[in-house]
Amino acid sequence: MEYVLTTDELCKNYKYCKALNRLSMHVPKGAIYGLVGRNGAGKTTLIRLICGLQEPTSGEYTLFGRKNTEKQVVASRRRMGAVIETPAVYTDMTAVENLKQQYRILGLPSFEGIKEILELVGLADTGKKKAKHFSFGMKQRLGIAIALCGDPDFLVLDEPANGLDPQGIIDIRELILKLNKERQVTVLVSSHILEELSKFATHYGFVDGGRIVKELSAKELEASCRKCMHVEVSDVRILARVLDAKGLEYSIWSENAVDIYAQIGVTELVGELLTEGCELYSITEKDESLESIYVSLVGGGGDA
Amino acid sequence: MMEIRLWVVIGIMAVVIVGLLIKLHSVRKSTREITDAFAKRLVTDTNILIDVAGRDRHVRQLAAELNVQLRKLRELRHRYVQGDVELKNAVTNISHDLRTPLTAIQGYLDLLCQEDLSEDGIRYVEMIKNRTEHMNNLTEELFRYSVLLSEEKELAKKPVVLNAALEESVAGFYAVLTERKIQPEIRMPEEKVVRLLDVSALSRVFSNLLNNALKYSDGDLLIELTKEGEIIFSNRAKELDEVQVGKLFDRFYTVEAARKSTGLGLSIAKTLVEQMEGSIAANYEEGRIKIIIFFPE
Repeated sequence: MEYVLTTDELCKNYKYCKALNRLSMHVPKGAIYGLVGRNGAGKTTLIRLICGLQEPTSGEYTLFGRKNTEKQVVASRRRMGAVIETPAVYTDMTAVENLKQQYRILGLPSFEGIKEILELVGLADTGKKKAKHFSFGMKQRLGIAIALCGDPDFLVLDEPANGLDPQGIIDIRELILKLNKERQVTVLVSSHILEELSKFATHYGFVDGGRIVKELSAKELEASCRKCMHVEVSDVRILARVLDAKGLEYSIWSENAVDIYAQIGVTELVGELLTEGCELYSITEKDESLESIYVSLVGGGGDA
Repeated sequence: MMEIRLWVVIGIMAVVIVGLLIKLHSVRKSTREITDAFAKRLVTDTNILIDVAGRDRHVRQLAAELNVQLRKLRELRHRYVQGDVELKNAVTNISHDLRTPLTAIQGYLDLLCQEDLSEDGIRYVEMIKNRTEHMNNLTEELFRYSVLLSEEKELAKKPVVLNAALEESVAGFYAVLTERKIQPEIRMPEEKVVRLLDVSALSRVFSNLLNNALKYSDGDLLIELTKEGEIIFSNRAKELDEVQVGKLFDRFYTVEAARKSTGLGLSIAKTLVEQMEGSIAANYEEGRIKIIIFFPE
């Protein structure tokens, strides 16, 4: 697998605390990587490090195949766009002027594409309104628009949903999905709400106490979340027949494993299987909500 | 008086020349930047466009014009990648979704067999069973192939003794081979040939190739392993010709549609061999088809 960003035992010490403690993470190309953790877990510090705003105390990271110690990492950073904490906008300028300024800074030869970006983030009709008169959500979107000016391959968003109303959160989510699907932008997005991330992330990194406690893909998370009975039998054909007769929903995984999406009477099932000549090897119940996974990974005390 | 004027003229000229040289230098630098950037944009899979540091109007115009083209190219690439991903996912989902009803069908067929059926009925059910079994195999293979393509799983590479792995695979096929009256002949060196490979992927490659030999062999099969890490499967195959052999690794290409085959076996083998950094090729000479795998040290 090709990775856009990997970090290797990244550490960042402030005077009295270890903000990052040997953090290793892997962001695959084309992913929407959700960085989940409580406040103060080290998410923002990590993002600041990879954007080059701070230097790591020890450890290193690789961006588009370039180590942070190499000179060419600058070229890799050019392929990145980021919004960290409060979006940096010129408050005395309109949305269009803000983007034009960013185009100049990047050295882009023409202002082509500005209208497209503003339409994408939903600020196309702000006209002469200055950024200081923007609402919080609009400023947030303008921040993202500025990050999109260089047509990045890798977009980093620090808590983009913070302080937004429900509609604003939905808009941001749609925007991220659109960028990811239609422009193949890899996105790293941090949040302390797993529920929110779970609606669009393809990969997760759980951060706690300055380290990644677990990295997993959306598929793995989903598999451990859907409430079901995982049943292993000697012959799925017979089981399928029995379940069909009961009208239960199920899906077959292999020649002897089935997931049943319903509460089943175990005794009854065993009886029916036995009369048909099918052996039951095991039943495991899978039932974990997103919340309980989150708590078991990053919650439950422990010093950050 | 004349002299002063002359000096003034020379002075102005000198300033102009220096100015022009600076301008020339900056234009040169910008064009070099553009050249570099343009070349890079074309080979890397990136969204970013060309930017220039210089302020020269014409150079900027050139860069802007190139960006217009790059945008078009980018849009096409995006559309292609998105379509490709969606297609692969659709194939994976469909082949997975087909499993559940197929298994149910097989279950009911088993029940149907236990009923009192007329002689014709038994024959028809037998036929349905056969076809269902076949369909099951096809969907299974399609599923495996699409999974292989859609998630680039990291292969677990370990040192593998090719001699032993090859022997094991052939032994597993011995019964089927003899059934089809194919006498396999194996030649391998005394010394162990060890490579860093994924065991399960390797055995899948071998079994796909053996399956292939089952389909096309005219009764012989020669399997050779060399000290250099080359594995050659060859057999006589009168029915094939060079053109067909050249297409063998193409997805869904099958020589004879009627023979139970999806045409995926060899392209799966190819994908796996390449994921293990090996190479695979096929050629056809004097009535023999030869499939050569090579794992460099």
